Amino acid sequence: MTVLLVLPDWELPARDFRRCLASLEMNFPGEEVSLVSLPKWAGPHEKALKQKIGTYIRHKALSRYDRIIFIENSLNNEATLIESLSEKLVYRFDMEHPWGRARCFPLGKDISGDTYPLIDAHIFNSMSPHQTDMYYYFPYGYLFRSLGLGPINAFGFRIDKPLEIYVGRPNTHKLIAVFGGSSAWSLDCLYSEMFSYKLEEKLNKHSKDNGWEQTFSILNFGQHGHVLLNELFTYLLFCYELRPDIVIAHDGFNDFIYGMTSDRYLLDEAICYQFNHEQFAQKLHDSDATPLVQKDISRLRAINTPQAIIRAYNLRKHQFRNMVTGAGGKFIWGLQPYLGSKAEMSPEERRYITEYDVYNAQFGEPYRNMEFIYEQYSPPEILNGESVYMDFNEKLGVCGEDQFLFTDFCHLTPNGDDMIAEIYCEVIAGKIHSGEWSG
Amino acid sequence: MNEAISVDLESFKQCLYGLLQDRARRETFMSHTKILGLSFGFHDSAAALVIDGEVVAATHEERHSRLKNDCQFPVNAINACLRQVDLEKSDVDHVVFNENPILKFDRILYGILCGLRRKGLAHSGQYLRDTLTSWIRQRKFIVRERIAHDLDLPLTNVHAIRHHQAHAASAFFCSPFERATVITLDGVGEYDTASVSLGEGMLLKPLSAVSFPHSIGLFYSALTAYLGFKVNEDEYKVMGMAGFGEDIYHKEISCLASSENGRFRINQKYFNFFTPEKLPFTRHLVDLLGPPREHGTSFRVDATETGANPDPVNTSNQHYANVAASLQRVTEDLILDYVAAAIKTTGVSQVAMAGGVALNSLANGKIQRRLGCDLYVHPAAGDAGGALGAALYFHALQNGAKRPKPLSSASLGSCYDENEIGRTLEEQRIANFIKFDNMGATISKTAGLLAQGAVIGWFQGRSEWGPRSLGNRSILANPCLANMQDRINKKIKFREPFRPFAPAVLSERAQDFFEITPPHSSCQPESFMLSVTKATAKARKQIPSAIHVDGTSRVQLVWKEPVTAFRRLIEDFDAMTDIPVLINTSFNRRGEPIVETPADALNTFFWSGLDYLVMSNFLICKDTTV
Repeated sequence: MTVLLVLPDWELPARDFRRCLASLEMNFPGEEVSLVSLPKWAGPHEKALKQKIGTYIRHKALSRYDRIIFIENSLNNEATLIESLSEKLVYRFDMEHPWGRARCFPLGKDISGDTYPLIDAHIFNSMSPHQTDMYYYFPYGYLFRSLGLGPINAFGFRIDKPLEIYVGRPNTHKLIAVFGGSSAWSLDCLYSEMFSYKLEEKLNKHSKDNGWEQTFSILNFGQHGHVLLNELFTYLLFCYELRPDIVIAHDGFNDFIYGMTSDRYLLDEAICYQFNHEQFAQKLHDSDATPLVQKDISRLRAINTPQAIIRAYNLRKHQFRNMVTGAGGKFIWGLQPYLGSKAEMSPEERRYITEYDVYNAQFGEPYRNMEFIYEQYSPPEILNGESVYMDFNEKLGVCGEDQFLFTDFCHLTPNGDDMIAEIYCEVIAGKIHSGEWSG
Repeated sequence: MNEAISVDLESFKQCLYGLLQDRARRETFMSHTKILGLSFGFHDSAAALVIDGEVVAATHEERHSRLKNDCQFPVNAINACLRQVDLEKSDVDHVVFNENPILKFDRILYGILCGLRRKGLAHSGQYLRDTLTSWIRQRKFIVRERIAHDLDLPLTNVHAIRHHQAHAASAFFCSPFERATVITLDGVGEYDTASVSLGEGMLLKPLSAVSFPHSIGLFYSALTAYLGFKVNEDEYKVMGMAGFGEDIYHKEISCLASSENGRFRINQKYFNFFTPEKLPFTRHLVDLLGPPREHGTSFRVDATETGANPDPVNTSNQHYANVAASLQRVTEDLILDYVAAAIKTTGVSQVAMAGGVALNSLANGKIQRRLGCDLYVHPAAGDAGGALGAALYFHALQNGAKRPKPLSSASLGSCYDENEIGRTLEEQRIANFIKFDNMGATISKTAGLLAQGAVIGWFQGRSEWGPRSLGNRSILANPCLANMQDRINKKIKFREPFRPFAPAVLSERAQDFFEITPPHSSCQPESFMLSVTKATAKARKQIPSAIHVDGTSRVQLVWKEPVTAFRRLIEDFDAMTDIPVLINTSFNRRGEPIVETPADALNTFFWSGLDYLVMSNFLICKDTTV
């Protein structure tokens, strides 16, 4: 495959450029990349690029390349134009979007096996619209496909190896499984930046530095929108045989949000779900006449009390913990942070709040409620040494405006994910070191 | 027992319009001219219904749509007004809109032409294109046609009057004055930014006006943006911030705006009012006052801080507080000069005011004290009030029109009876409540809880017209407890720690706590929490949580007549504590409209640190014990 990279005329911050290159390497490993000229600003990066520089006059040279990749912003969006004219695979880094900055976003109308080889791996992948960002039906909840930030498996998880290799692993090979929503998936991070990846690096380094015999592998079962019930299903589907040594349930935000919007009767049964499911049911049964719980999807309202939401969350999380510890694993009861966890927002974080008018948008009311529900949340009673509670809302409370940790209301920057990894590493290493979690 | 009955009767009376099913009453209304006033399209949409000169209902769209400062066509507010008197849209005789859109667009074009010289063709062209697009999309060129279509009325029954005419009518026809100097002050209407009229009986005679771009409202808003707050929304926060500062930038701010004999001028070098961009001020303002405060940054000031290494945040915030203090002082000077000149012109010292600038309660207090005039300020002085003003203006044009009664109560919104409240509790599966047999018992229990330090959501009768909660949709607390301000700001309202709270006081006891002239009228600004006054030494000692850092309060007088549940509550609280004052703040959280329905109240109750919620005779709790 041949790749043509079109750099912008305007200067790209060095950090962003480095992330783009890392993203390219991750998405198209080993592929030869040609550049369209070398703009003045990119001069210092020439050494790092090590690619050949070609010429490109509008669309004439396209036929020579299999993939064309643009680094752009909203004022320079040639990629969209090219995509509409060409049969080629066109990708774009959107430098104005926090997520897009490091994301090699495929612009094809229908993604193909060339972009995502697992697109037809199973029937629900095949039947889903072949798009790059897609919630789609799955018998046990739903799946989410998000391409361009590094490898994902056939179920959308950021796992790059087959799970079978971990079955029957030696006792010194510790397997950690991470669960949660898009923050655990690490929405704004490249594969190598996500906290689960960083945690694996840190634990292995710690182990090596301390002469331990253990090695660590971490599997990221986080997925967009997942609530605890999804985590339970995921654990049952994929982890029963793997028997992870440690499970990290890094969650809270989605259960709080969707707890606000779920049907009251169901929440009383500790059944919390993404409101989109009501629309699925509506379509399936052609029941348009029955009003959805949320009368106006464009402006979500909190219809449940914080007490009911916290009760449902704790009940399911206890259930998860019991499943894990019952199977011989250790359980980390993580409460994920959100933007309001910080003592002060950074200028970038404040800009996000202002520019997106966050508190008046679709999730305005649920987001306004976040401070209160986090405040009301009391740590669970951890009854035995098999579990540990980690409150990241509290831990990030010391962070000030000089730390840019959140790209939006709940998703972290690579620095933020690194901080999360560091804190988990410290606790896990401490538990192992003290002998509490040995064996 | 009798007291309980009398309060219950009052509660019933408060709900009367909401419960009106009486055919005879409806038929009475049907025989009179029903005028619906509307305000929408810019910010703060609203509707008001006037029947034969009687203001029967008025409400803000945001209360129903739950979208702060909602500017959409006020369909919910219209329906709420009509429901009050059991009318249908088709029963309305006339609809009056509070702005002339064609004149307004003409002014925008004028602004673009003026901006052309300063900003160049590209910027002005883009601004024109954006404006045109938005006007076409929102059908602003054909407002009358749109109203006629949406309300299914003949076009001939839909009217548009000028913005400042509507403000002036809302001020004068709701005032208790037979003759008054009528002053309007806001950002900008069609061309005008301020006006003086002489009101006499049913006549409003325009005398003078100030034209765009010279606008006290725009001046204040631009500095509001400079201070890191939202324009057209957060101006009142600047007033709160000013209390922390010293007027040390008076000279600088005076360069921006000046006034002589009521003729104020805004120095356009510092502002960009013609074709506003993201920020409505120019680099010259930044050169003069330093970099603007970033929106969303925390505000904390510790005046006691000393030492060689002061906290940079503290130092920076003190600077902005000083700018706010000077801005407030200069604004007050401009307003006072304008009002004084107007009084001189008319020779009438009774003053009726409306327009967004009339919500500047610090300035209102000074008008009363310094000019010694009898002041009336419309309780919804901002653009929402223009809806009622438009209806009243049109009413005044009718042959033989009667003068409306003075508007001494802002209880013009919707009422929700016990059945509706009970139904909502049932729907929400809330069982943790007590229902008292009568209002007397409810009040007594509530007063006791307040005395013990509880913070209570208070929901009674019709919702208020205007931006202030006046005892119908209020959060109430004990002002004697020193930590109460901090607690409500942080745990209940989730808002900036510097924001002050208003005291609601029995009118006859007000002078014990505040330096005001003897209360004389239930129409005076203090009845609507629209005037700031100094607290006495006794108040500073006894009710510290209701006093701002600068020793002032935006007091609300609560009168003996009409007897309301709120009045009785303060009386009971007084009987228990010997303090005839309660903290009264709006029943909402930061950035949200005031609650309207029982469901809204329950939502805010459960999603804040409120201890109890009292709705009619229901006391709702969070704990399992009551």
